[in-house]
Amino acid sequence: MTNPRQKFNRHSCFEMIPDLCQPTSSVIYRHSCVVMNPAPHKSASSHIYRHSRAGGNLSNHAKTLLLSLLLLAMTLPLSAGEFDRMVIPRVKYDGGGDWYVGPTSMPNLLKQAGERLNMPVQADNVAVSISDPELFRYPMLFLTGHGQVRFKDHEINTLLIYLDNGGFLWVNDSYGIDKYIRREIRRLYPDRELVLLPTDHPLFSMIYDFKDGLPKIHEHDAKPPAAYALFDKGRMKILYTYESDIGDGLEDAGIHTNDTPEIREKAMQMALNILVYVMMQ
Amino acid sequence: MFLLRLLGFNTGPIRAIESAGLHLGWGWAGLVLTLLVMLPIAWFTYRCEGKNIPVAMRRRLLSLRLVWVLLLALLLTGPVLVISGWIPQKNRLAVMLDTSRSMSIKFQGESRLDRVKKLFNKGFVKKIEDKTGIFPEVFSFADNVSPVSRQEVEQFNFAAEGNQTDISGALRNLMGNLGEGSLLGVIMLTDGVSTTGENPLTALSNMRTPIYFVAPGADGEAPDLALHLPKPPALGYLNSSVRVRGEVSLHRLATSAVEVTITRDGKPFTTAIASFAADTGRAPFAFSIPCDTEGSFRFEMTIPGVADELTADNNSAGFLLKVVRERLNVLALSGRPTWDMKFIGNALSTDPNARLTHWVRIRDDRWVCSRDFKPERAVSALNLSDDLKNADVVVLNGMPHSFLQPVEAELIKRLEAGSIGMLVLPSGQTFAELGYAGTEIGARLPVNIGDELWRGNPGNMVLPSSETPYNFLRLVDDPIQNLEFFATLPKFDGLYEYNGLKPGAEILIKSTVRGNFDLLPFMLQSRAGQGHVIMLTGGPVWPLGFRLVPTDRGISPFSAMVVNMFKWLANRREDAQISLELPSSRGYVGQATSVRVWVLDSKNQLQTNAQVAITVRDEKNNANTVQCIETSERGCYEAAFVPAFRGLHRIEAEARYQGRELGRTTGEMLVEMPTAEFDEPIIKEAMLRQLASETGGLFATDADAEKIIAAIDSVPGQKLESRSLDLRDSWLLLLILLLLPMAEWYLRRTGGLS
Repeated sequence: MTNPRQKFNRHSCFEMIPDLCQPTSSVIYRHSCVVMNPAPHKSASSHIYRHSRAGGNLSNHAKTLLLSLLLLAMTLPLSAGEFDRMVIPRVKYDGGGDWYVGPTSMPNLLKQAGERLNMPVQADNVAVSISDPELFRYPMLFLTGHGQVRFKDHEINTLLIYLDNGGFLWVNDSYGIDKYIRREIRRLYPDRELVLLPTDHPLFSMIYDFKDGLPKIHEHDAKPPAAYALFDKGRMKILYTYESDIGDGLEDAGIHTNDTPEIREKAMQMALNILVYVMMQ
Repeated sequence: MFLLRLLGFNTGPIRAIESAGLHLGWGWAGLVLTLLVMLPIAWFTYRCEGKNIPVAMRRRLLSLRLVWVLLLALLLTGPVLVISGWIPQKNRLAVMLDTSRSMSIKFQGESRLDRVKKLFNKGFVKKIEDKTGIFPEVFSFADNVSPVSRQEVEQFNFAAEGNQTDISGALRNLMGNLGEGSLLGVIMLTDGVSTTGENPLTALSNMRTPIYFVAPGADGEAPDLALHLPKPPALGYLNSSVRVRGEVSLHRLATSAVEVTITRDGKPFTTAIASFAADTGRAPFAFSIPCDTEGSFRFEMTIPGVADELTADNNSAGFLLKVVRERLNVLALSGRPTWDMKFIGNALSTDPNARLTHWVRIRDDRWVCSRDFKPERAVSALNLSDDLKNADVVVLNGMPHSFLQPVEAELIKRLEAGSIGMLVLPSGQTFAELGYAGTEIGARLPVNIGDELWRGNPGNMVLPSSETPYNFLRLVDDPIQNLEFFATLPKFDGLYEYNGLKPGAEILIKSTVRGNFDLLPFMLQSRAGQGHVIMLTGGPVWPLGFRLVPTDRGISPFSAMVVNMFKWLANRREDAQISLELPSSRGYVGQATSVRVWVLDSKNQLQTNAQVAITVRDEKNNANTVQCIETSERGCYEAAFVPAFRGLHRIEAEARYQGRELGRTTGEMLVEMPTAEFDEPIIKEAMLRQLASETGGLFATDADAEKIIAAIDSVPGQKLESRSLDLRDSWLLLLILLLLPMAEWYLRRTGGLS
């Protein structure tokens, strides 16, 4: 496992998280509309191969044309409108839990952030593990699932550095994650507790008003929805939305057949509130 | 020469003609044309005579006529004869004597100046006179060049007291006064230590006059330990700390470490160690000053002396540090939420005195304000009235100009007055799209907006120079490491290329992205009146704050950069109407220090045509008043003074307008003895040899100065002189012109043709 740290020099009092910002890979993300194989170390050519293999029925000419267009797109400079495009990756974790559930939730949230808030976004489903060197490309992480969540010891260290340096973790309970995530959060911050946010907290009125606090999305245990936050040095570093599956509510229409458009809109509004709150604090 | 005299010309001092040339006013073409006109006329008139003329007579008449026509044509075309010849010239020779403090360095018990004196006493100048026939003009030089009379040369009452040496400046000064053309050579008695002005090797490489160098003695045998403090801090902010960097150098000494003792207002403060690596003569040291109390403090650093040291003057250095309470209020205005502003806010939160008010536009009718890093409930409209009043720095982050119009005038007024600074961040929209073209804010940006081109090429930041004068760009103590560190910072996605920088704009950080002509700038700054504007052309910058991970207890470099940059932008002034600007809180004896005074009227507008004066008082309460001159910058007045003594100097500035006092302000400066002359107590032999070789001169030590005298060219001087002689001034030619027709008449008469 590669160590995400790289030494600057022996005299420095800080270290650099390696910058793997490469225009080639970011442009590939822009054009790929399939679930990304969570192996960002793979070369650009392998991504292109995977994309073109998805269209196996295309003629050779069409494939060549598509490949040419992709290569051409890679050489085009980003326009200013794509300056600092936001990506919210989901966290890959060990323990056997389904970290990958709800693949359309973050892309949908980002699309709406682009449309409603005029923010530059990259509406792709991206996944990253805590030990991934690319972790520090994303100031906000989304974690969800139904079961066991387990971080390795060095991942706890890395996640601490991530959060201390300004990163944010949103944990969405897709039902069944509660006891595991609380354990992991205790490992991160043994001397801190998750605090229940009051209904008048600014989180619930950033863009859209939620007078009653967190909206109820999906039944789960029929308990009231609760937004828990972990604060450290005056800043919210972790938000844990419990008994409210906002992630599911963000998914494409038809995936959760019981979700009405109103429920999905509530989930979207709350998610946008969270996004803006994170960027404001 | 005889012919010319015969023609009636005076050749002046030219005795032998080296070269001559005939120039025609109408040019040779004019002569040909004139002949073409005159010859046919002459032939026609001759042909019309129609008489039976004998052949011999015809030939004689024809010849006379032809010569006359030719001569007339020549004189009509304005003939000028230019002659050149050598004339004797009185050559000059100059001897320049270095009287700077480095000439007091001793070798075998004698100072360098003493050795020069011995040389003079042995008749050095007289020998030059005997060899060349010229008595050299003697000058002394150090801070400036002064002529020395014969009597002063004989008495040799010079002292090595000059505080600085400018070899290239001194030679240029001499050439300007004596004229390089008549100068046979310059003999310079110096150790080659040039502490100011241009590098002599580059400045004098094109000099045509031979320079002969006499270096007195050899390297100083005395050991020396020197303390250097190139850029001490002048201002500190309460509840933060200030880093001080210096250096210790060794000469003819070897040690592994030197302890630097630091006192504050005479009381022990801390110590620092300068550790020397093997075979190095310089070692850095650094220490931090926590600014936990407001006020002005005098810091002195001292290193131990050694026996028979070269000089003790460079064993100590001091500076003044003013600690002020920094009410750093930052008002950020964002057109939409951005990570950049979030991480800038995170960085500001590390300073307990910093307050951030951040307005973010969600929609035109939905605004969120975050105060002290805590978001509040959303509101329907932007309300900046109180926030702008209290702000020290305004950040514009993609905010459309339309929302700033109600407060633009106030913002500009405060910016020009220097009570607010501005940081401008790039966004996904150009400034033209945001509506800044043709606006007051747009006019104060360092770039010309309107033709912005986005270059989406990732690149790195590059510091233009290792020695940046801006503290907020020093993220690592060592300047070279700082330069290297910037190159390793996370890349940005791209940046905007603008249609030129405005006059006065300065590039603080460059990039590795190439534009149409050059590498594009990443960070720029400019002045708007007394205020500062910093602009970033690219981004994002949040990765700097996110990916630089402090592993010790020190503040992260990004946070330090942000906080210090905002404090610099805040440009806090205590007296709003009159404010003093010193280049440094430290000056040197004998070296001019310039002071700038900014003057505002009661409406906080920059005041022109004011009468401004500064009074400088030293520790002995000697006062010196200097009138300030108004500069080209509106409201800015400048004066210079030369401190004569070391110690704390108080400067008071007073401004008056139409007889009425506008205000006063005070400042302080610590004046020390300059020690640059002892920084390198060696003879710069290599440089002197090279200069001598390039100019056709020679290098020698005082022991073999005779070879300089032997090498000086003693050929009597002469120079090439030219003279222009107008042939129309020749009486002989005129006479010939008149005699020729008379000769024809005579021939006709005697030939029976008239």
